Amino acid sequence: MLTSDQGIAGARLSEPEIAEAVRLYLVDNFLLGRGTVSDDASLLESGTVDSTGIVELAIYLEAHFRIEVDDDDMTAANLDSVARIAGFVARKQAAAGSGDRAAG
Amino acid sequence: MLVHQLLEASARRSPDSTFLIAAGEAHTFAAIDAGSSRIATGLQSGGIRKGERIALVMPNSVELVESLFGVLKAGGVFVTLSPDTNADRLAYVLADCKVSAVIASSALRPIVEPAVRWAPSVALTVWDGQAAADRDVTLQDFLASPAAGFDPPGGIDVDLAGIIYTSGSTGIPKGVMLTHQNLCASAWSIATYLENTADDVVACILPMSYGYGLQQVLVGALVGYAVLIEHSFAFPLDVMARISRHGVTGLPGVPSLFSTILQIPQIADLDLSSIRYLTNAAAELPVAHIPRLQAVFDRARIFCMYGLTECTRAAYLDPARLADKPGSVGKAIPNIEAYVVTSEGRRAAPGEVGELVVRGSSVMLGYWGKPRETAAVLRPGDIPEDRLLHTGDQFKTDADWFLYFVGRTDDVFKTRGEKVAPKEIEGVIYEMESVAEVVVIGVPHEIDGHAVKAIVVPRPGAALDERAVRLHCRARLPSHLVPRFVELRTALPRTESGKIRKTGLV
Repeated sequence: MLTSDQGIAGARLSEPEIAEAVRLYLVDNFLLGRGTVSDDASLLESGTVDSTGIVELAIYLEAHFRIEVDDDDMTAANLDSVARIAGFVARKQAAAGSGDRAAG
Repeated sequence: MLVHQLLEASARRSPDSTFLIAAGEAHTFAAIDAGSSRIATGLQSGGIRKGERIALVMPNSVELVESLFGVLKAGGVFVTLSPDTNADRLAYVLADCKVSAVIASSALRPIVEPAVRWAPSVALTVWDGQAAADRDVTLQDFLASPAAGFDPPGGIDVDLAGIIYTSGSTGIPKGVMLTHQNLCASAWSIATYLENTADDVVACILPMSYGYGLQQVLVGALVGYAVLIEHSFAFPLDVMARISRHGVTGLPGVPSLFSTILQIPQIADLDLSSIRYLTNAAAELPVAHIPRLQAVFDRARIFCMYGLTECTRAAYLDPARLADKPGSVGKAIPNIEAYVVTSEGRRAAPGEVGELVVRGSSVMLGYWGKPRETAAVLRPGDIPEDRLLHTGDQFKTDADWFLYFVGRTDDVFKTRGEKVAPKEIEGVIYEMESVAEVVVIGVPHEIDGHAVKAIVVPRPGAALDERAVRLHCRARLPSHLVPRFVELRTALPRTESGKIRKTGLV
């Protein structure tokens, strides 16, 4: 499954590292480089992203962390704060990693 | 009848019935009535007097509903703003209608604080949520205060109740002034044709900052039903699970919301049998979606409706006629007259295309501070003193006088159910130094209805990319106006007179 860029999933970033990357992405793309996003604030209630933004965020997570965000992953429990996103990405990567090993 | 009297009457009639459900908690009519009275007391002691404008910058929430009614009890006029607004737009609105006080979610401080600094009329800011400094006033302070003691302001039903800003074709937002009578007339008419009762549970996902969402709350206050409050549809499966759990009976939506529901893979696993009706407005529901929606919501009747901020709602199709009048929005709602006039001003014959006009007690007072724009849309009718609302929407009727939307008389289009004035977005993109020319159009889009597309011609030698245009727009426009598509071209097509030719662009 993983080909040219094994680095991101292979290196298995820690949750704080994932959180930092997601925070940078949110600040750059939604806050235009100004302000910050705390770990636990609701992205929707704080107005950081809206429903279109959540879809953009999912596309970013898929591309950057080499995971698949399925339709039933699109829930507040997985995606509505930096901390939740980091946990979600880590779980997805762990699941994909064990899948690779099983396949290998 | 005054709008807040709807709530007061329901609270007297059935104090312990549930009015609002939010975050799994139920709030009774008595509780919301008491909360709004405390907010009225807080606003009056903060210096708010009859007729002053109070901006509400909050997502759908219990606090927004309490604030709406609290402002009215204090004699104020609410000015609703979607939380997806930004500092520029908010500052414009605060200055345009000379807002005296702002009630805002503390999470929106980064947007609200700069806007308030630019607005000299704002004397009081009330935060919903955490105070950032000791001197900050919070809504929670108001709500925790002992029993309410506000002075009834002694309003009458032709007083202003609210101002809702809408995009104008000129690109400058216009404040639609709605009186207590306007809002109560709409609530009564809607409750009548939807046959709402106190047993209904209506899901309010659409923003209460616009007429469609606002009326879900006002009709609830009128008939005594419960409203399930959702602040967005970003996580559709979560919302649909709550709709199932709370036994929702009415689901108002727009085409993009219904398209999203149809794309949820697990939707068939949810028990949605409590839903007895769906309503669609803001844009035409694709005819192909109707049988698919009927399969998901097998007990629901589907109401296809038409409305605009200036009169809230104007027409609906009787669900019994859905099969034989596909694509129609039916006929005028109760106590409203809606008909098509030709460019010469006479009533159109069946099949003839003209502008839809609306008359009735829900038609707005006018646009705040814009007499010229008001006179352009509120014109004399059959008798000179009558006020006919010219909608700017082209319609025709069939032989049975059922109404069909044809198009706009200008280049305004709708995305996710909200009006888009291309001029407004073009003006913002023209601020970029590297832009030589830009044209904004709506392109058909499965979810959004129409998606905003900007076609940009960069200045020779300028470095410009799609991302730069989008980020620039995101800083200056509400998110629904940020182009979903940006295309760079070397030139735009022109008419013989040299104007940019929009027709045929995709």
